[in-house]
Amino acid sequence: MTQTRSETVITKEQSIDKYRITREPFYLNIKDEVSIFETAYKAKLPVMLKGPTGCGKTRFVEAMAYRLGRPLITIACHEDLSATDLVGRYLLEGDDTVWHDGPLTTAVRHGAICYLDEVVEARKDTIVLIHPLTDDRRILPVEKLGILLNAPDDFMLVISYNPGYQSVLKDLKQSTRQRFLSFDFDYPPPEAETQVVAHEGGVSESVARDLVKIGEKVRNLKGHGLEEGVSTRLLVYAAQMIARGVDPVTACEISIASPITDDDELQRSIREIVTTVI
Amino acid sequence: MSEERKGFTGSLLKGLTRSTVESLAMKMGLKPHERGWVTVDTGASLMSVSPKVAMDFFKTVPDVARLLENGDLRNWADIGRRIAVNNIDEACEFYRSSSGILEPLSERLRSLLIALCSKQIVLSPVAALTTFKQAPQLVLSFRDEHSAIRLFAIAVEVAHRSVKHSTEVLTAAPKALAVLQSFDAQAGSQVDESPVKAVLDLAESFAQRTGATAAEFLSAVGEGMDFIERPSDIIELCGQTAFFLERGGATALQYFRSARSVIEVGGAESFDKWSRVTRKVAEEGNAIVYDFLKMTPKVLSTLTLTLKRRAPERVNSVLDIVEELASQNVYIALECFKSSPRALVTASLDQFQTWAREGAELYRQDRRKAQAYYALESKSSQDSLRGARDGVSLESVSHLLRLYVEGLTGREMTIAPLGTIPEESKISDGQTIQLPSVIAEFGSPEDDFRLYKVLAAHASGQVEFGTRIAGTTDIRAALKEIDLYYEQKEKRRLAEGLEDDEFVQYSNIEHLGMRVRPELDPERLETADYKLVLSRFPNHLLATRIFTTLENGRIDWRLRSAYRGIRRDLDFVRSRLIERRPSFAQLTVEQAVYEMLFQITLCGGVIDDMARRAYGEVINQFERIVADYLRKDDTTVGDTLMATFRVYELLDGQRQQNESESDSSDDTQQSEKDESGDSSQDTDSQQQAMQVQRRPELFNQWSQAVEEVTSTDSELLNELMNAETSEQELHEGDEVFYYDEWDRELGDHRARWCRIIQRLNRKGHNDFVEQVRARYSGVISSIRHQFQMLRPESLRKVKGELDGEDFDLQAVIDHHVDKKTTGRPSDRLYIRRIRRERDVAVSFLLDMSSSTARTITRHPNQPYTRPGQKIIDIEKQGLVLMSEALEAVGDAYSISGFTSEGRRNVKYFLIKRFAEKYDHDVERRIGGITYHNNTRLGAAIRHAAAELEKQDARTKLLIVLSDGRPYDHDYGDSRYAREDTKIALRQAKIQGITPFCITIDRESEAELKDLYGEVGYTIIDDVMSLPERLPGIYRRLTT
Repeated sequence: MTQTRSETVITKEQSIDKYRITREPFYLNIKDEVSIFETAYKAKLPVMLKGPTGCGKTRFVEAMAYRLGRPLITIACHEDLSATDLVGRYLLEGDDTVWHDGPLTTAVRHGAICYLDEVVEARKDTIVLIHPLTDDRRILPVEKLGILLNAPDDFMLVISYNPGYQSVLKDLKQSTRQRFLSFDFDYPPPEAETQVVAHEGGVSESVARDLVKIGEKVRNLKGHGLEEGVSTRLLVYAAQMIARGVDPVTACEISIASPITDDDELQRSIREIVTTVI
Repeated sequence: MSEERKGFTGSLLKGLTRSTVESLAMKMGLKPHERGWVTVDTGASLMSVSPKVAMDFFKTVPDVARLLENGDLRNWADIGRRIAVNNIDEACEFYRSSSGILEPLSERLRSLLIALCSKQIVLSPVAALTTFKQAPQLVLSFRDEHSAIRLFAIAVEVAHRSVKHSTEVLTAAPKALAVLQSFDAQAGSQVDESPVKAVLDLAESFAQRTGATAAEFLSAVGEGMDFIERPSDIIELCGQTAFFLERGGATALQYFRSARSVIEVGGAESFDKWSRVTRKVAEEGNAIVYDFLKMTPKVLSTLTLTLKRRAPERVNSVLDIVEELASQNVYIALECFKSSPRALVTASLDQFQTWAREGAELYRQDRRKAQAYYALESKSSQDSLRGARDGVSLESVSHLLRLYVEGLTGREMTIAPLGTIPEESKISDGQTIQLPSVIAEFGSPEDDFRLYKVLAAHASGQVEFGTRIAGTTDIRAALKEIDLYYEQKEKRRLAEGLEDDEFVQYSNIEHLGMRVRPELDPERLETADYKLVLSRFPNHLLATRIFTTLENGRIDWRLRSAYRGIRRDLDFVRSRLIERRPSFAQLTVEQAVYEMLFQITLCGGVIDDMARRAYGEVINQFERIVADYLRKDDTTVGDTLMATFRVYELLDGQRQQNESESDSSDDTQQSEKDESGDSSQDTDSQQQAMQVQRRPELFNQWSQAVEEVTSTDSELLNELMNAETSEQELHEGDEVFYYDEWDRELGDHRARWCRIIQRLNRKGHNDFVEQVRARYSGVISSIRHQFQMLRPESLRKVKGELDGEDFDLQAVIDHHVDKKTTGRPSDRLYIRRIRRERDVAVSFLLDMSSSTARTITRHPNQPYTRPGQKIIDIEKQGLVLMSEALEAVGDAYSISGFTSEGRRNVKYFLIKRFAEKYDHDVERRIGGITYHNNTRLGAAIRHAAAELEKQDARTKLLIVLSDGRPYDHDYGDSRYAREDTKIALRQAKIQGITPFCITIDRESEAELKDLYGEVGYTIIDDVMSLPERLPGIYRRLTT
């Protein structure tokens, strides 16, 4: 029985090259996170990145993957992400049953950096799957194939989550949390953020400074009506719009005021802040 | 006959020899006949009381007899006799002092005094004696003979009715006369039309009418009339009051008092208007006019508090509107007048006027509506008042502005309208930003908003750029320098000579040669802020004023450099400000100086060329100071303080020059007066100056706010607003919410009509819950089981999906089979797991009114052996069972109860909140549920719905447990209450809540259907079965 099955089963491995990062992503080292991350990588320890949305977590991982020369496999977690989705599954192709490696399996096989974005969004039974990979065992059991994959030294697991807005129900369990080194991310300090916005958005430094100032003011409203401050990402969007000739106030309107809230009054106050600064 | 008498009395005067009596009689002198009679008569009866008194009497009689007429003499003797009955010593004293007291008085006065005393003696010997003794002093204090005679005559008149008040007339009079004196001086020659005469005439009329009120009237006059300008106004006022005297003394008195307050607040013009209104009102009857009179001072004082500086002008405008309304209908005019202070807190005068006129329109349709309208009860009225016709109201933008300043400063801030800040936040801590309640400056809402924005930006600039920062090095440096400077200056002055005028003026001391500047407390140095520094200036008001302007300039500059965008708004407002600057020609020197400072700091320089020519040197110096200290990007409040110091010294030097040049020394006073905003100049230019001042004030308010707010403000307002319904005191930890109520007849909501007081329910014993659990243990376990079944499994497998986590083995087999046989296999090969969650939040709202105290029994014939249960206890049991069920199913739930005592006291008891666990505290609160008062269902539903709406659940359920129809003592008729409840339920439904009512009232199905028909409801026939049935009903509702 096993014999026959193994004949018909074709295992499809994902090509790893598409996961390689070829151009250096722009990342501005704020404190010493780059060197610490490198140390963690050498020590083969998994890393957790905490911080609000759009503050540069993903960019950081990309930059590190590039620095370390490893492919990066990013998995955006969601409520229906199952173990199968991560590890791999059999698919019918014509008459054949073909095994497809999941992203996690691919990462382990090739010693890539596997980045689980917004990990709390994943179901608890899914998260448990990564546990054996995150301690000194560094193994991934692939039950459907009946094999245990040993992670090579190159492999690294990185997860990220935003402690701010998710509900209590979606908190990360201690048994998971305590397997990771944790990096706290926040919006970069004004000077750094100005550089980021100027570089990424392709605008002059003075425009970038204005945008950062707006960002700072709008972030003051967090908790006073806003669930989350405006992200660096949105500031960069605004900068990009401005760089392409959109009127600055309109750019801020569509990339700052409107995205972060539906509340009319709040939007209006943000607009007033925008027109105060610009 | 005389002989006979003598013999007769002689026998009575046992202790005296006949010869003594005879010689005494001889001594009495001129008219022995009548006087002899009196003397002997009284002497005889005095003997029977006390020989001592009699002796004193006889000794005095000869002297007194010369002074008094026959009748008076008799009365005089009688007074002494009556005193003697009470107190012998006092009687002696009376007789002995008599001649001394009577001697200096004129004949007429003597007679009146005796008349008054003999009236008083009947009821109060003490009063009579006091009056008598004090007579000479009183007469002196009455200034002239004529007034004294009239006042005594009035007192005699009053004494007919009340002795007490007759004394009061005399004691109140001197003050009143003193008040009137100044007017008499003005009136000059026309003596017959003097204010004194008018007042006395009126007092006499009062006395003739009611007596007691005459005294009150005089003391009311004595309270001061100095705000009345012309003597003729007093005469006019008295004349008007006399008119109302026909309606009773109390009314006239009230009229006088109210009129006084009108004149005090609004001057003669207001008084004219007001008295026209009063006459109009008077036509409607006594009760209403009294009501109006009584309300007037209260309304006016609140009005002045609300309106602040431009009170007289604005009171006049209010009265204009009231008069206009009164010509249509008196009642609505009254209502409008009554709510004017409240309305003007948020509305501008123009808005108020429009609002008032619209109300009059409404009145033609429906009187009740109009009344509610003017009482500002109905929503449409409030909307109409606020109506964005002209200007932007703070109310409409305060949330927006709050977010704006919180964003800019990153701090928790509050926005409050000027003048309505509650007591606690009086200290201007930089947390509360005061803004005008309405801005209608520029004619378009956008532009008006820009002014708000600029003001708000300035306020947040003060936070950001550290106006209120304390203890920094540069503030301390400034403090030291300034303090040292004035310290030394003072020392110099003390050394130089003490007659220096200016020094005296500045330091306000009478005793020269003393240190006036208090030592600077070194401990305060650490926490020094701008206020402390300003207090070290000799004239700190002047310093504050300069500082305020300069600091505004600094903030303006820093805002401009830090925020590019706000420059547009600042420039816009600046351009409008510039347009409206007064011409320097109209300003006094003092005003011109401030104006220059203002223009340099906030308008970007002096705009008037003429001023430049006239004050070139000062302007240059100002500009230099401003440029030196404030035109940099890193200025602090310390720089402003140093600049203030420089400007202060500059002005000081300037003033000294001026003084030496032009001997006008009341410049300081002038400036002081300007400070409080009531410079008394010609009305024309004054008005203009006021208008001019207003705009800078908007900016300068922050440093003055502390002094301006009066504590009675909000209290008075509240009193006016809620005169008819009493609000109960709040307990600690109570939270208060306000809800509208639907008025069926109005066809509109009554705004913020009900006050919900939310508090935790009293804790009872948790025995109750334990007992219920024990009694229903079987039921509970089956309920728990049923409800656990309801709890959905977190994942459900769905077969035959197009995509999924695993193969559906059967489908795969089918697929192969189909493929081999038909060639058309199905693609649905997968199993997918779908999450299914029960997402329910439920609120139980329990009617805790006293009607739930009713006892229900299944065995009415056995009241003692099987006593039955109170409805509330049955409901409580139901809640216990329900809680067990809900714990089993895991739904979020809250339990609360409500009762009401009028619309301002709807109590909402929290028994279990959503976030709480079902623990001992909750159990004890269930045990503590008891019944009180009424059922204002609508308000309770609104509150429960508002709380439930905050829950994040797909299904939101509001279950109302009620025993009957809604009722409260001010909840209108049963239809009103029903309609309100219906609307409340309907609103809840719109909010995405499913209301459901469980009621045990079987009586009126039709009414119930009307009440709850739009939402679900069920009637429990057998109340005793409620506990068991409740979980069942719930299960049905949620599955």
